[in-house]
Amino acid sequence: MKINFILNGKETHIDSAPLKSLLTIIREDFGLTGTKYGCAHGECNSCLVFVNDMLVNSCLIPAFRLAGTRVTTIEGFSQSKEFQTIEKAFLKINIIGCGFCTPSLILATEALLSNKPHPTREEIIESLSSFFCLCSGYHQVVDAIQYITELRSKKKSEKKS
Amino acid sequence: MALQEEMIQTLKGHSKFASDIKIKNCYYGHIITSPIHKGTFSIKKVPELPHGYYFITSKDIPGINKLSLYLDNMPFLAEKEIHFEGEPLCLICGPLKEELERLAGQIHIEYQEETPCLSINEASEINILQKEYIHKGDVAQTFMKCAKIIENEYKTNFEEYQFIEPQTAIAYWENKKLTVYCTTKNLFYTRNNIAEFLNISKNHANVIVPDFVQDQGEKQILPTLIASYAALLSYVAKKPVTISYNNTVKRYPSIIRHKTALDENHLPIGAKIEFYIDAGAFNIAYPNIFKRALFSLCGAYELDNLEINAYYIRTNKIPFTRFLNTGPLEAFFAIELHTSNIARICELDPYTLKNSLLQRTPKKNNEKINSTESIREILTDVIKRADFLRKYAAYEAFLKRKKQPDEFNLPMRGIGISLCFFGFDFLDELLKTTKYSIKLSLHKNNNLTIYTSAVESDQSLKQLFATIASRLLGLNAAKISFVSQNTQNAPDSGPLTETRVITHIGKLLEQGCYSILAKKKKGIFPITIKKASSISSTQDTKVKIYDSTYCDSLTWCAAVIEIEIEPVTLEIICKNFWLTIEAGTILEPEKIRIQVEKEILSGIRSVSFKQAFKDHKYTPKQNLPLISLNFLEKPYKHGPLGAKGIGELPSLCVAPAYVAAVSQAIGINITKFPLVPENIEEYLAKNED
Repeated sequence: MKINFILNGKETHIDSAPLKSLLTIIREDFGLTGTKYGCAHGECNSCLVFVNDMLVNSCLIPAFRLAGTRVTTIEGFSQSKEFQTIEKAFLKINIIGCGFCTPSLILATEALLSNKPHPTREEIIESLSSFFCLCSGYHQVVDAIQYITELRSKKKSEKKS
Repeated sequence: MALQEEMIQTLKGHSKFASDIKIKNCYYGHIITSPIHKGTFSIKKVPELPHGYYFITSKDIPGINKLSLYLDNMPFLAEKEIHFEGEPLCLICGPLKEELERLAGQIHIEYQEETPCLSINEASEINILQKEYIHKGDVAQTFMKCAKIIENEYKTNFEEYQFIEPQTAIAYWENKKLTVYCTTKNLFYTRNNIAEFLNISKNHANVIVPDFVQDQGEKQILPTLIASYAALLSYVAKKPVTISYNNTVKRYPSIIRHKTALDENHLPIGAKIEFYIDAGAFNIAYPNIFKRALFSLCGAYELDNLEINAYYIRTNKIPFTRFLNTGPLEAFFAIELHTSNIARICELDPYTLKNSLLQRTPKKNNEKINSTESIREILTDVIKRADFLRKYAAYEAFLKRKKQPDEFNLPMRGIGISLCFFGFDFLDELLKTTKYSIKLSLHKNNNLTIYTSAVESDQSLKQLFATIASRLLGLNAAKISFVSQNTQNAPDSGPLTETRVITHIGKLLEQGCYSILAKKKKGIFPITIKKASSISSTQDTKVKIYDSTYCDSLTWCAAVIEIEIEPVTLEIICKNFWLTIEAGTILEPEKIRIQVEKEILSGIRSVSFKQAFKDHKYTPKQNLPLISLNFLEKPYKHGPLGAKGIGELPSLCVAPAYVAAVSQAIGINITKFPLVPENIEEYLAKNED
């Protein structure tokens, strides 16, 4: 099956079995291994990507659903302006554990902040509650996300002035 | 690559785990495992294999079919006898994954099943892998003359957590030399076993751990097995081969029976302890679960009259990928909860009882006992900060008085305390007899490279080593780089267990830095220093197995946990968690806080989830306590810059304090975990009856 879609801002096309998962396509056809193969059935959230600006488990998206969509992986998102504040915060607060779920955590952070630019601590914890992470505690992740909101507010007010 | 750069690459998704590594024309390997727990098997029929597909049994192994373990040996591939469900029997490899699975389904294996032993309760004499009898004082006389006896049986649950990262190995041969990528935490152990398995020289095998490896449980045996299979299949197929194998981290149930004799003042004067812990089908080499458990059975307490009967039971269960705190967790759960239960029964507060049991006898010649002073200090500190005595008394009083009608809808409250220690490497025979090393190289531009095979699954050890080196040598920590994940380039620094690596290898690092400083004056670069030692040269190993208080090398933690139980839903909510830790000098307090929090969450998950499999996520809101952490800093002379490793210590403190708090809240002495609302409902219903 021939499928045309946009991957990390570039128009692309593949010839794929219709049920091949987006996760496998990203990793094997395009060599983008930032999206991790974890449980492969939508539980662990290691395989998150944006499809049409919506955060999804790529292991649950079959190829036939990709036609005409915009897919953004961590590799693509890391080129964006929004990534810079996340990178700064994660390095400052130093919450990188083994790094397996970090790419997905970054995309989930962006998804949260896109919908709620100033989430409360409870809202942050709620949004992360489906994450499968054994390396880090939660306080630091919450601190990092709150720091990102401060950075973004500061940038916004600097732009206005 | 410098540390900072590694972290940035991780954030951008560029870090490679084993499952991310792609090699051209790579074949896939598939492991066929036993569906039965115990018995024998014979391979009756193998389908005709297409070109490029290979089938391997134990008969095809060129070297020794035995994975070396401490006091035990396990076959790489079963020969005839099956010891546990999931035991690898044979291998198949080829170019297409789907075809492999189809072919594997066509292999006809006949099984003769035997009755397995699947739990400690089912075990008999022949299942005893190790046993230990320890006797001190006159226990029989003590129990005859005592005023009261309190006994209980404590049980720890089965736990199972999913690895997210699949266990993957990739092997290929080039010019008769083997390269294997895998997720081992002990590079040289894996390399040496592969070499024996394949009957090749160790110098012809290079084991590499990728940039990052997910940190979960013991990761020495299973990665070594998978790496060996990949290597053998690659040898036979003459192609690179990759194998992925999904497994879980496990804790098997244990039973600990405490029987304590009390005097007229309700103080313990003697004890009998029976301890049963499940080894699985084989005794994995490291960590040495049984010895560490033995050492922890009496906790921090001294009793003049003591009898311990401890059994390490072989069952027909999968032996590898165990929690790293297995052994001490079970032992501390029992002793800490038992002393708390004794206090409640005798209407004492647990702090007073535990404090009275700490070592009373000074050393000979009035030698200062640093460990005991530290223990009392951390206990006193945590009690004070948690306002433990007042709350304990208040909750006891509330529990005992007759409730007014409007009080039945109030949450039930409880507060519990525990005291634990960690850092058992001096008990491990292998570490005492083997020299481990580290290498440092300083260049003229002040770039330092640290060579060590103590590979790590996250950045924390690298960052700590960089902190130590930067402080001693006046360098920028972010510019320090590591050569760590390759048996060809890194020296053998031994197994990756955090406390040992921090204390022992960290000390070698410190010594290396001082040597560099001495040589720097000469102005000749690069300066390369290698430091090596075995563990016995830096640790006091002359300790009695049941008496921990002489060990300054241990890291100590006193913890208090306060809980509430919702009156309608019976959900247990952790409100507050206080800890005071003595771990030598604290070099990176903020990073240790992250680690402590992670360990506490791990402990809470263990104690409060009915089935941890698939539930092991960021803890739901109600289980996130406010954590208050304090350090008691006492420089440890054998640690780098006075530091000691903390490891899984905080997780050990959770279960006994948590269960003690719940016991107080509902007024029933609970002796096992997990604790979920259904359990609370059962306990309350029984109490009413």
